[in-house]
Amino acid sequence: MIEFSNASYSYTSPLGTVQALCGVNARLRRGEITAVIGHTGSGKSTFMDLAAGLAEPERGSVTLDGFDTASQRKKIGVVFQYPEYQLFADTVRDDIAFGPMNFGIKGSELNERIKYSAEITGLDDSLLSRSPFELSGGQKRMAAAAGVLAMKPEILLLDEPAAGLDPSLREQIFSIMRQLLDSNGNMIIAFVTHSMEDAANYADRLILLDHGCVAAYGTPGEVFAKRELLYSCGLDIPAPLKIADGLRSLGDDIGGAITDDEIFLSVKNMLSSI
Amino acid sequence: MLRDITIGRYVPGNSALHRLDPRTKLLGALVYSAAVLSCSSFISMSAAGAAAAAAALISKIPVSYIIKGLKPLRWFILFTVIINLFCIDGKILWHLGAVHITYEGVSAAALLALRFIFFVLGTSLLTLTTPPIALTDGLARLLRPLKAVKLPADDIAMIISITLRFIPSFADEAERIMKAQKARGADFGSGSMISRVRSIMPVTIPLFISVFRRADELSLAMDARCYGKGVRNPRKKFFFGRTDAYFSLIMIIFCGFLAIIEFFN
Ligand SMILES: Nc1ncnc2c1ncn2[C@@H]1O[C@H](COP(=O)(O)OP(=O)(O)OP(=O)(O)O)[C@@H](O)[C@H]1O
Ligand SMILES: [Mg+2]
Repeated sequence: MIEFSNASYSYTSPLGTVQALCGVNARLRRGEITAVIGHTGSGKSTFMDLAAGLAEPERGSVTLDGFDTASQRKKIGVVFQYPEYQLFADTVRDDIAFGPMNFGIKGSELNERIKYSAEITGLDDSLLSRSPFELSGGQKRMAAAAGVLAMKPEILLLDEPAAGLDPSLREQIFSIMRQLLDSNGNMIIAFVTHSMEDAANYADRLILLDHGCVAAYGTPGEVFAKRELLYSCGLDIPAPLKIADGLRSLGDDIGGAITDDEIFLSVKNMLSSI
Repeated sequence: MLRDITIGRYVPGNSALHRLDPRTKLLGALVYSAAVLSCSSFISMSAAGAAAAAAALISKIPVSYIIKGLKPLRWFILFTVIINLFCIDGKILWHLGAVHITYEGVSAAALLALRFIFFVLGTSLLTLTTPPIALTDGLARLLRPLKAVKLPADDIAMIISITLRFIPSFADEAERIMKAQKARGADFGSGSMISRVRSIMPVTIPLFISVFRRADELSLAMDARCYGKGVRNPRKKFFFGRTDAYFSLIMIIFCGFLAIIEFFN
């Protein structure tokens, strides 16, 4: 479990200090996918940096199983926003190998890792020997993600992994997360998103940030039930919930559907009961 | 950290320095740099330092922010200082075998370091208090006489201000890439020289790609807005006001003062 207790962080800028996080208490649990949501500048990326141990809190602490995350960086894989800009090697294969090699993995184990991560991200063999700069935007994103997965991190943090991808790649990114968790229930996975639908469909738990503070924490059902809070944080509710609300205002109460599947089932039931 | 670089950054504000005509500031920075580079004694150098400090205070930009901007240059300064320290002959202060430090070496090294610091401070203050567009327009206006000899003054001005403007952007980009590679276990500040050089490849290659991408985008954006298809007029009319007059007067007095100090030295 990654635990934030009263963690604060600020940046110095010429116009004064910017308090990016103020006294955050939150948990990222093992065996769960957590989504971090919040308006632009609410501190989501800073939250991820602290969780990854790439920055240390000024006050409070951020710990992984009781140790500061900064000392646990080997266990933590981070897919940054637009990770395709970190590709550098001659071939995709070499780029994927960069992370594991930094941790001293070589030989057959290394090949194993490359094969594993290429498979899971759907990069086929012909792509592996090409230059990463010849790939399409989506393929680059997948190659960069493969480079992180090849380190077999116990904790996987992703900052807006689906931004700017087509629907099928989005779907693929999130199904990879679920697949990883299914094969290793000990993993901690968290992602940042601006899409309420992605948060509703793919996360087990939500952290809602507002101006550097945790405004809500809970399951998608619990958090999205607080509609006013979401609006006041400059966010929206997922489309299925809007449909359910709209139907209720017309006199058809189908309950609080949040995910695509739930609204589908509810509407189907409603139609069949007519 | 690279991100601390202040050259090329603009901090919005409304101080007297912000309100100066960009041409006045450009000339001021030029004169100040020339003055600093020609200072040869500690007395004149401390006068130059006082002038920089005064300008920094007037700008109302936090002093800590300006000083932090010098941090990325510390290795470069240290390097030049060390070279000077050991390579100038004169009255020996300390020696170990063939290596010696002279009195002249110490003062030359110290002067060089100060010269460099004040030079960077002067240029930083120029860009910190002048929006990029104003800088371009001011430069173009100052370079206009060059048109008489068929030099593309406006383009030169644009090139200079784009260069300045992009220094901080690339510093930010470099830092972002470094962070990403660190998360993949890359180790920057340790190991032998060769392994260190090799360890910066994962940063330099993406950085170069990003530079070319940005240049491409920028040229497209400029094309799309018809850059070079007509005469560019400055966005704001230049106005040489009372503040500018005071500033010029102060600069002249400052230069005269320095000249007198230098003369009697
Ligand atoms: N390097 C920096 N220097 C100064 N201020 C910064 C820096 N990075 C972030 N900030 C500020 O800290 C606050 C939180 O930033 P952060 O990047 O964590 O937001 P975010 O929620 O990820 O936003 P977005 O959705 O746009 O990615 C913002 O107000 C931002 O302006
Ligand atoms: Mg962000």
